Amino acid sequence: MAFKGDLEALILAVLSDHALHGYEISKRIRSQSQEVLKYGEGQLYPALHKLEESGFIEAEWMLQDGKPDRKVYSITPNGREELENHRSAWTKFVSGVGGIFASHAVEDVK
Amino acid sequence: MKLNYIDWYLVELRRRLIDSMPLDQESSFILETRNHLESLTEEFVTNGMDQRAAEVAAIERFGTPDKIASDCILGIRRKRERRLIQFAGIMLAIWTTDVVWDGVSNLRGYPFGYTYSLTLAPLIILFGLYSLVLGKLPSRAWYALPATCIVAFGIYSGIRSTFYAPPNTFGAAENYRELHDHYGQLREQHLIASKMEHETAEAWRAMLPAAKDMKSGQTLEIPRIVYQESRHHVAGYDFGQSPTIVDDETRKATFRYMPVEKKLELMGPLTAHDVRSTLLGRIREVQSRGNGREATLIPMQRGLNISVRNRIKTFVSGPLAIYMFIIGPLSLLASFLTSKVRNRIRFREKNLRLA
Repeated sequence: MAFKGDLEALILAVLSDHALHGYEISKRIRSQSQEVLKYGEGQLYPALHKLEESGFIEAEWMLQDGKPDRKVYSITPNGREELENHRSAWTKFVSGVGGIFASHAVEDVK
Repeated sequence: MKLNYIDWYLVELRRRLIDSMPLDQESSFILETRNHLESLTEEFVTNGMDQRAAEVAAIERFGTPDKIASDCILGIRRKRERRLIQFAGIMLAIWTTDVVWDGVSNLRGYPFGYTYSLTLAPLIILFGLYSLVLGKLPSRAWYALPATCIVAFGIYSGIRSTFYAPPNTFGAAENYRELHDHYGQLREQHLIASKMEHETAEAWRAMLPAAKDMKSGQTLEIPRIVYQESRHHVAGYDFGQSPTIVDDETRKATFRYMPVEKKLELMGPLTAHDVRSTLLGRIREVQSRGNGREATLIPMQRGLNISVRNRIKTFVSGPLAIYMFIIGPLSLLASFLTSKVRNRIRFREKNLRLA
């Protein structure tokens, strides 16, 4: 069973270190999750626009020599706060699920 | 110029987004998509694919134009729904305040008042048209039903208040008796500005029945207070008869008798204009002698107020200030907080779901 995760949380996590454009964001999500998290890469952009409207990330167009301009996204202070909320909710979720799996595994062994 | 697969993909994507997105947002998104697809293609070519196959693989990984476009449009629709809810919240707050305002201060048998007619009704009609024409009414979210009810009620109330004449509208009075009754009621309910005015009105009304029964050539003693306050009214007022002489010393008016039916026969049926202009003359008289308090009468005729200047002045000084600076911002704040709470609930629900 593949775990899709919350794409907006993943975007915020990836952007917490560096400002990146859309392609780089999707590449890092794939590589840092060891190809576990996969999704249609086009879904990234509606999620990015939603985060931008919510004020969690901001974007600016970067000029490139001989190439089309690229839109680069960076996280805002509100976005960092939102990322922390996601992290703490995820931690609680993982410990909750882990507890259930652990107790059932013990019962199976018995 | 030969188009590659990416160019064709973008044409298809643009075709699906057209008229669903602001133009600048659409152009920006298409450019981002192009950048992404070209970068993916470059990655696949680096890994050994030929150009054409790399373009196809990049498009497959990115997603079909239908899926991408529908995700974008869904986001825009949700944003419109949020705005709709916020606007509905403001309208509800304004309407509630308006009802309370009129209930406390000045009900005239028409529960929504002149403020509602002049301002809220057109706003609600515009709001209803806006949501119908520019965006679908919300139909699936949990807040959809109240928002839809507000819009529907708003449209109905707006149309009703603007075009429908309320029950106490001055229509054509069939005879002078109705005119007397209207006048008496209105003086009692609306025009009493001072003790003197009140006593005058009472004396006037007490005099009317006797005056109506006067035969030609008979005289009637006008009560002193009526004489002092309304001598020329007595001279000019027609109780169904036509008084012709008022003796200033004795305060006696000699009437020329004319039956009401005959008068009506000569004059024709009274129109709303006749009724209104007769009463307005009385009102102006009272207002000019008002004792510091303004006596106002607001007969509603087809939803339009007679004294529009008064309405605008009252609206600007009172309700507008309250709506714009207190109720409106409070409603926006309430809807903003509500959406925050709703997002938190959705976030927790999403985290408990396993895909």
